[in-house]
Amino acid sequence: MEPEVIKAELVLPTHLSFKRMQMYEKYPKGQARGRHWKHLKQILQAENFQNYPPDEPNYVNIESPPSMHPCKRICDLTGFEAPYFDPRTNLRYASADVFKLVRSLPNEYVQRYLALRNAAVVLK
Amino acid sequence: MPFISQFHRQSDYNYFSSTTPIVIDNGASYFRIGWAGETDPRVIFRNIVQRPRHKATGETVTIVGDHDPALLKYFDCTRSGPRSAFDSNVVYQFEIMEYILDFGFDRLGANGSQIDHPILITECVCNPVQSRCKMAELLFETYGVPSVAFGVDAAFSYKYNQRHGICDKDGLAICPGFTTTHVIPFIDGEPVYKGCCRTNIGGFHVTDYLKQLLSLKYPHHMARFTWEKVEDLKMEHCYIAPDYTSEARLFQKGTKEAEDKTRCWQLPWVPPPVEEPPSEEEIARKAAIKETRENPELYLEQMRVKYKELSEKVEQRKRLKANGNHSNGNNVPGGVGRGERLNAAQRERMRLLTTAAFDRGREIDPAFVPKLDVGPSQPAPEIPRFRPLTKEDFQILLGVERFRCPEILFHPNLVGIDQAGLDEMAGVSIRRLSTKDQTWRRD
Repeated sequence: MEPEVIKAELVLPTHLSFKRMQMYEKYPKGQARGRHWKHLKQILQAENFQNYPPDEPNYVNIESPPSMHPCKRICDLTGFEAPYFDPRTNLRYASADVFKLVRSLPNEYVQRYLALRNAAVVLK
Repeated sequence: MPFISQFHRQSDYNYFSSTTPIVIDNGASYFRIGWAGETDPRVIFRNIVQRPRHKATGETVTIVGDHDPALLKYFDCTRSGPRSAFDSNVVYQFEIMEYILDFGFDRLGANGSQIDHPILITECVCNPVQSRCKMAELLFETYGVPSVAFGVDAAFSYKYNQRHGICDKDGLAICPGFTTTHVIPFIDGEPVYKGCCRTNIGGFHVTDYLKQLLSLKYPHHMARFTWEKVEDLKMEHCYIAPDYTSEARLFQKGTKEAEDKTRCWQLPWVPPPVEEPPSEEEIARKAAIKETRENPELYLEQMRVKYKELSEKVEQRKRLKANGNHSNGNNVPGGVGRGERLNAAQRERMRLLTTAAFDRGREIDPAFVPKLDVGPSQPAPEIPRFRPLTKEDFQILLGVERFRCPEILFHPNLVGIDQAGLDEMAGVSIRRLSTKDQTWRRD
């Protein structure tokens, strides 16, 4: 180990005195490290929120509802107000010059701009 | 940079009695740990873990938090990116959480056979029972903690401000986080979680949006926009416009105000060398190239001679090395064998490709062109990069992006997340309270 790395104490030491069980005992080397930790979706499914009383707050029911305000329409490329919409590429644009840019974009960029808005076509 | 990680090892762990609690703010962006009763946390670092391989020894090590990138060059970080224990704002990966707690306690100065202090740790609002239970299990069984308390960080903050008279006993706490934003009403000093509201937009999304916008606007400099750099840019330059539409109109008209508000980031740029009048060697070289274009056979002959010379040199070097290896058993690092199998032309090509000289718009090595079109001379297909790049091409302008990115906190629709923004959330939260509480609220 290089001296400056040791001096900076970059690396986590393997044995720590205040732990009852060290990492190398808990997760022995050689065993599949891909421990299957449940992702949030699975945790929420396993919680069975239907069984709890509905007025008690839990992780799922404190989520906010969809917005009541009308959607703000801004140009995908420049960020200005965009009353216009290009049906071919599905991008919003603010003026004629921006439209020229929109039509000249290669498809990859179009998809990336749409992905910013979560409007890209996802082929599964 | 406003957020500075500090992880010097503290030396006064033993001066605190066993009754002093350790306070941990387990946030999705930063992990803070300190002693109860003090004003600031002792140790702060980014809540991420990397497990790179050390290049020299080959062993896999664990590095917690963000560190000086200069030191990381000794590690092969390509296979493992930084990993977080969080999925949205809930802890789900407890192996990573254990590494982080290890590091946190270690830097706090912990020694002895177990952590002998009660722990106060923060969690998200309405944390799923499974996550809380695994966290408690980790703390009790691995660290031997005597007692654990969980709480919501916003509630603690509100209580603190209430005690100092800044907040009333009834109020609304708005807490934007790393991946989520919460609005929590407080009645009589207690948080009412029934009225709480959560939107899945946070600082991470703002930084990500800014990063994507800049990468799309300046594809040439995409490599410059690392997540950390963009986060710094966001903290320094982004602001929230009181009225998005009028601000955008200012920029659209190109007014003087808009010019003032535009910030410019100049990337390091080396001007291309000034064209000198061709010297003797230049003229001679150009004449030689012209000659090769006229008679390719002569050129090929010359190339063959050069190749023979080079291959002889290579053989010589190999022989020397074989002798050298017997005398000193050091291995020459790097792809020596590979380098010798390439001939001069291929080596030159590899050099150009790897140094990416063409990316910076410098003139292509003129000797490179004849190798491509040996034959009737045609004008080489000119690629736009031959236009000399100026200083302006290396400037990143942040105009509309400065206030467009934080706008997503108020309008998550801009990034396709169909939920209420901060302003609406306050209304939703109050409406969710029962009517009795609402009338109380109105008073």
